[in-house]
Amino acid sequence: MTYGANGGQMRDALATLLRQHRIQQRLGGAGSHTIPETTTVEERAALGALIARYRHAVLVYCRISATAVNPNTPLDRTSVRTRGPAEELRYRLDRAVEGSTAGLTTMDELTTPQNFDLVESWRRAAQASALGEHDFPAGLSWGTLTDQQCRTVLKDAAEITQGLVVLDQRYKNIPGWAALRDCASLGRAAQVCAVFAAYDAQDHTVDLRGWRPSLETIDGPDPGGFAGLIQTEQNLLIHLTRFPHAHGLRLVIDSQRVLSHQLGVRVSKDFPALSNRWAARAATYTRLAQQCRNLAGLLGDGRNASADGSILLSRLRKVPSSQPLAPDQAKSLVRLFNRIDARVSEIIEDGIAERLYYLRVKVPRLSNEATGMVRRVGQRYVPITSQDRTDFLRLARDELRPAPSQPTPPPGAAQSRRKLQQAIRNRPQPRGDPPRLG
Amino acid sequence: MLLSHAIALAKARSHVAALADTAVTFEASVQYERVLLQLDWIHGDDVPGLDGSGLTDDRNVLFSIAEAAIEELVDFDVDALQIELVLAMLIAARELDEP
Repeated sequence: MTYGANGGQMRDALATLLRQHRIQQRLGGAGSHTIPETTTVEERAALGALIARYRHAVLVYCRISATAVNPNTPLDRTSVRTRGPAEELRYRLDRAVEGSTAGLTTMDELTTPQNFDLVESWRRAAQASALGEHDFPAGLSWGTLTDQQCRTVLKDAAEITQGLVVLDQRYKNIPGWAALRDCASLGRAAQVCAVFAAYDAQDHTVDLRGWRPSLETIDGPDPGGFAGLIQTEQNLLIHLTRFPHAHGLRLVIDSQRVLSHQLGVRVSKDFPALSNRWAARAATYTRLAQQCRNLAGLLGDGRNASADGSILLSRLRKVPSSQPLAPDQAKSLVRLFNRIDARVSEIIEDGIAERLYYLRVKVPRLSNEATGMVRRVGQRYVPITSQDRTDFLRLARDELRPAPSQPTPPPGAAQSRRKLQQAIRNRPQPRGDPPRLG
Repeated sequence: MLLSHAIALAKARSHVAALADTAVTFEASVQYERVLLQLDWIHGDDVPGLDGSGLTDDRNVLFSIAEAAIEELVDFDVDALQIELVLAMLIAARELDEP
């Protein structure tokens, strides 16, 4: 679940809630004479307490969002005059969370579907909040996001807070309802912050970031065909997370070279563009293999990765030449190739920078330090510090590393935000207060 | 590793590398490269660097020198079975090296 997925679920749930009025009836209370009362006052009070716990989860999420994208300076000695819009929202959220007596939701409450649609929408919002909290430590912070992305997250938090404030006022007739502390100040701060964050363009590519499950090896027997290749290539990628020694790296490079070449030949009729791309990849790996012949380095563990390379090639031989490559399999292979290329390039750069990989010098000579009758050959290794000695680093940086792709925001990102904004703005006027004309 | 062992190994490696670079087919180049990897693995990756200077362009000569240098490694207590396997790989590579 990414930031976009969790945020989208939360906004959808809140937009649904903002469209719902006559709250007592929706909780089984008395209303129209045609709709019987199905819950007692005590039951509605219990539902209200449950909603307050769900609301607390969303409130905590908003506080984490506002803190993550704003420098976390202490606000205890500041005043409303010295705080900016983002700090004011953070301060008001802090006070609202500290003043909340609702308590935390239990895991059962988060995962069990509720009978009333209204409570179910709150549960979905709280569930997304609980999951969304994990997105922030996973690279969603002021230091790692661009200014535009920070403003987008801030605006999202401000709008969700606005929604909570509107709903808080609407739910005040629920028996035993605990209103938000300083609700009016919180609403004002959220409104000002939403306007402030919307001054400049938004960057919805932030939706692609957040927590993702770590890759796992695919165990089990060979599924056969190209699926078996994809399985082993995935395992190879995961095993490359351990830094390989020089010999292991050479074996991996050999496997990728052969795989790219053979696949390029096989798909030349069905996917000519892909075939050319894989042929170019094979040529790059060939040059890398040549440059690696003098590479030395005993530190690291490349056993699993090089074993995967061997399995890969034996499975490749078993794939019948008549078997076509399905488009989704081609897509998977392209994605895996890109990630492996990026990882191999990273390994080479790290190995050179940390002096884990060395170059052997050309001519061996007798060691002068050796004592005794037999003089051993002195080995000389030099760090890879200049491109005069090898083309290795240039190949890894310029040819192997895939070009950075320009992220595009997910399709529903703007629409999801627009729906919540409309739901906040398009609420009916309170009774007795005639609508303003003009 | 004694100097004569290192010289024999460097000669074998350099000539096999030259064969890989001048191979006619992709498969043969890959196979020669694996001969090189196998030689390095037998020696625990403790091998001298390549010396590509002054090598002939004649691939038959390159092959003969590589083969002789690999056979010579038996004299330096390298496992004879491993050397035979490397020689078999070298011959397999040569068979693939046809246009």
